[in-house]
Amino acid sequence: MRGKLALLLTAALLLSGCGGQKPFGNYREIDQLVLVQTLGVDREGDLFTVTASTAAEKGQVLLKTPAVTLSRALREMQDYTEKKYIFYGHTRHLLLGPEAARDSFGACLEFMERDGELRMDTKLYVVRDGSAEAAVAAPGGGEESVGDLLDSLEKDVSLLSESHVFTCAETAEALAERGSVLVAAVRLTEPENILSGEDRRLLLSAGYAVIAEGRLAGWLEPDLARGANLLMGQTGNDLIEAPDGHGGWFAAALTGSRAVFLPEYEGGELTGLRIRLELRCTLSELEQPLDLREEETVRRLEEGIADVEAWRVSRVLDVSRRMGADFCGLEKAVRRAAPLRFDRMQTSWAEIFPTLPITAEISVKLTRTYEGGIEPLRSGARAAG
Amino acid sequence: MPEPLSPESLQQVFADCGDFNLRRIRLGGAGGRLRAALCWLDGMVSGSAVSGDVLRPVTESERFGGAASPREAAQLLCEGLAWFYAARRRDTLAEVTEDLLCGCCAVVFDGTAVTFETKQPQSRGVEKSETEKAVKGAKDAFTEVFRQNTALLRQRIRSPELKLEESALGRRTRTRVAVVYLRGVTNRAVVEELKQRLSEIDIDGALTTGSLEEYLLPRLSPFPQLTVTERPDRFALELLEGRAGLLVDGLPLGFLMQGTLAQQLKVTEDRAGHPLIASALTLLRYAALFLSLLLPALYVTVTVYHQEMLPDKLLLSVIRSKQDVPFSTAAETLGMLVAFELLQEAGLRLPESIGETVSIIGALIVGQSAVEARVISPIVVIVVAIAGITGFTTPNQDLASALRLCRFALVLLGLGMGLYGLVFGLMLLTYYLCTLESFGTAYLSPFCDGDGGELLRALLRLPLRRIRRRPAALHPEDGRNQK
Repeated sequence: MRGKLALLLTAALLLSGCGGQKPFGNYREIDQLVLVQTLGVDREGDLFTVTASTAAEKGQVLLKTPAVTLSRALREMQDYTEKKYIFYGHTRHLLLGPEAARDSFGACLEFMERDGELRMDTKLYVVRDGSAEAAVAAPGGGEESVGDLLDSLEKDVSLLSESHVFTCAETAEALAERGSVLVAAVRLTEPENILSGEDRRLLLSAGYAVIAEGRLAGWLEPDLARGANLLMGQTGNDLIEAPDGHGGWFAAALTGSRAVFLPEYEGGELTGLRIRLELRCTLSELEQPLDLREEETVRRLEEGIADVEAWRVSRVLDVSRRMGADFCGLEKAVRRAAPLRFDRMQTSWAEIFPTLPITAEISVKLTRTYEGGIEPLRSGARAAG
Repeated sequence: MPEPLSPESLQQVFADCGDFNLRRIRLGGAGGRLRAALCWLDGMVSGSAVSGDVLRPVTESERFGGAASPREAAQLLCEGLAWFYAARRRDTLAEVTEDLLCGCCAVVFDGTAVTFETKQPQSRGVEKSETEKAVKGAKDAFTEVFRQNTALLRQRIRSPELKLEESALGRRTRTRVAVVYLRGVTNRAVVEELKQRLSEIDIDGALTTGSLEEYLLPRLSPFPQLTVTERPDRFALELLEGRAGLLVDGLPLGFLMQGTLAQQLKVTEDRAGHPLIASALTLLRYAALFLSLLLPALYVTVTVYHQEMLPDKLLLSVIRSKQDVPFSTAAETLGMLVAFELLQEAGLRLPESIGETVSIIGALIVGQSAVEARVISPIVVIVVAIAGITGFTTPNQDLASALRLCRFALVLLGLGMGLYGLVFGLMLLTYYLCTLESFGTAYLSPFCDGDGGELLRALLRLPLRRIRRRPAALHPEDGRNQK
C-alpha cells in the first residue's frame, strides 16, 4: 500500500509539473484582484510606457507607468492601486504604439511569451497615427472599456474583411516561419467624427501593419488588406463593388475562396509562380435592372469582380516584394506545392522573391443571379434586354 | 449439563419478566390425570389463537382421555389434537425458550413440550417506500416483520429455487436473519461466504443496519459495499441478477451483497422507462455525482489559485459578488458546506412539518439575509446549493453521504494546493475505490474490470431484449437470463 501510494504521489508530482508548489503558495482572494483587460505599450527613447485598462463596475480604470523594461512597468503598476494584486492573466488585447512596434516588436512578443500570467492568445494590434496610450484611453469616461471597443472592432473587420486580428501566438509562429507578418492595425477616429459624448473616441480598422525582420516595416491600407486576406485564405465576408458593364454598379458578397499556388520550375530553378484564385460570390445589389437570365450578363459581372480582386492582389504582391517581406506566406505555399524541387533550388527564396514573375488568375462563380420578384425591376430588365 | 425441561425451570429462566405467563392446566379437563403448563409472553402471541386453537382442544375431556404419559400427550398434540396449524415438539429448555421469545406459546410437560406458532402480527402494515419512491412500479416496501418480508419476496419469485436460509443472530437478541438467494443463479461461493461471516458474528444484538454492515465487511468504508433497499421488487430484481441478499427481523430493509457503484446509481424505475430516457437519466446521475463531488472544490481552487481559468465575464461577476464580504473564500465555502449539512441534519431528524419550517427558515430566510447583509457572497450559495441538489440525485443515500465527506476533503485539498491538490485528491479517491470490493466483486466494477458491453450496460439502459446475460462480475452460476 505504501509503495503504491508513493508511486501515485511521485506520478502526481512529475506529471502535473507542479512539483515546486508550496501549500497556499499562490493563494489570492478573488476580490483583491484588479483585472487588466487591455495593455498598451508605447516607446519613447529608452523608456516603455505601459498603459493598462482594468475592469471596473462601469467603463474602465487606467493605470500608466513608464519604465526601462516591460517587467518593471508591470510591477510598478501595483503601486497605483489600493487592491492587493494586479492580475494580467485576463489580458485580452495588446496594443503597440508605432514606435514600440518599430523598435521593440520582438521584445514585446518575447515578453508576452515569457511572462507567467500573460497569455499568448492575447489579440495583438498596432496603433497607426497615434499612441497606444491614446488608444487605450479612447472610451474616455464612457461606460465602455477599450476591450469592448476592440471586441466590437474585431467583429467589424471580420465582416468587412478589412483585416484579421491575430493572437500573439499566431504572430510569433508566423514570424518564426516566414520572417514577416501582418498585424491588425487600428487608428483613432478624430474627435470631430463623434456626434455625441465629449471625450469619447472610437477605434477603426486601419488595415494591417507589416512587420518584417522583427520591426514595423510599413502599412497595408484596408483595400490592400483584402487582397492579402485572399492570398492568406482569410476571406471573411468581403463586399465587392464593381462596374456592371452597362454603365452602372453592382455589389457582391464574397462567400468563399480558394487559392492554388502553381510554381513553375525550369532546370531546377523557380522561374515563376501562378496563383489561381477561385472565388464564390453572391449577388447582393444591382444599381440598375439587368437581365440575369443572359449568361453574358452574369459573365460580365463575374469579370467585374475578378478585375477588382486582381488589382488588389497585384498591389499586395507589389508591396510585399518591394518590402522584401513575404507576409502572405508565399514561400510556404510554393514549398508545399513541390517540396522536393523547392529544397533542391540553388538560390534562396529571399533572393528570388523580389523579382519572381507572379501572375494571378482569378475565376469567379457568381450565385443568386435568379430573376428578382419585383415587377418594375423585371420589366426594366426585359426592356434593357 | 443442561437444565431439564419443566414448567419450573422455565419459570426460573423467565424470572422477573413481567410479560411471562404460565398457566397450570389439566389435560382432558377436570377429570384429566396429566398436568402441564401453558406458557407464553404477553403481547407476543395472539390471545384468540392461544385460547381457541390450543387451550380449548387441550382441555376438552372427550378429546384428551387416552394419553397416559407426557410424551404420549405431546405426541397427540403434534398429531393434530390441538387445532393450531404450526406445532413443534421440543425437548430442551433452550428450544422452548427461543420459541417463546419468537412469539410461540408452549404446552410444557416435565421433560418435553410442544410449541405453537401463535404469533401476534406486530406490524404497521405494508406501506410505501419513503426513501425509494416509485413512480411507475410497485409501491410496497419491506416492514419490520421478518415473515412479512419473506412473503413479499416470495410473492415476486414464486419458485422453490428462492432459498431463505434462516439463523439467529445476537447473543441476547437472537434476531432472525435469512440468507436469501436463488439456487442455480447466485454464486454458491458468495452464499457460503455470507453464511460463514454471519456465523462468525458474536455480538449482543443485531438491531441496527450498522451492526450487520460493519461485521459482515472486512474493511470499513464510507462507500456502501452492501446495497440497502426498502423495496422488495428491487431486492427480487437484484436476486435475479445473481446477487445474494440478507433479510433481518426488525429491519424494514433488505441487504444486497456485492454492492457496486454502477448498481447504486441505478434505480428500479430505469427498467420501467423507455431505454433512451432511462439512459439519459442514468448519464445525468453520473454527471450530477461528479458535479456534487467536484463543484465546491473546483470553485475554491479556481477562485483562489487559477483565476485565469474563468472567462472574463464570469470572473468579473464573481469578483463583484465577493465585494465587501468579510470572509475569505475558504471560510465562506467551508462555512456554507457545514451550514448545508446542518440544515439537512436538522430537517432529517425533525417531524416533517417542523423539518420544512427549518428548511424555509434556514435556506430561504437566513440564506437570503446573509447574502443581502454581505456576510456571504451569492456565488458561494449558488455553488453549495448546486452541489447539494445534485447530491440528492444519487439514489443511494449511503453513497451520497460518502460523497459529501469526500467533497469536504477535496475542498481542503484544493484550498491547500490548488488544482494540483484537487487532482491528487481525485487520484487518491480513485485508487481507494479501486481497492474496495464486496464479496469478491470490485466496487468499481465494471469500470475497472468489465468489457465494452458491461460498461455500456452500466452507463446506459440498454433495451431489455439485449440484456441477455447477468453481470459477469457477480460470477453467477447461470450467466444467461433469457434466450
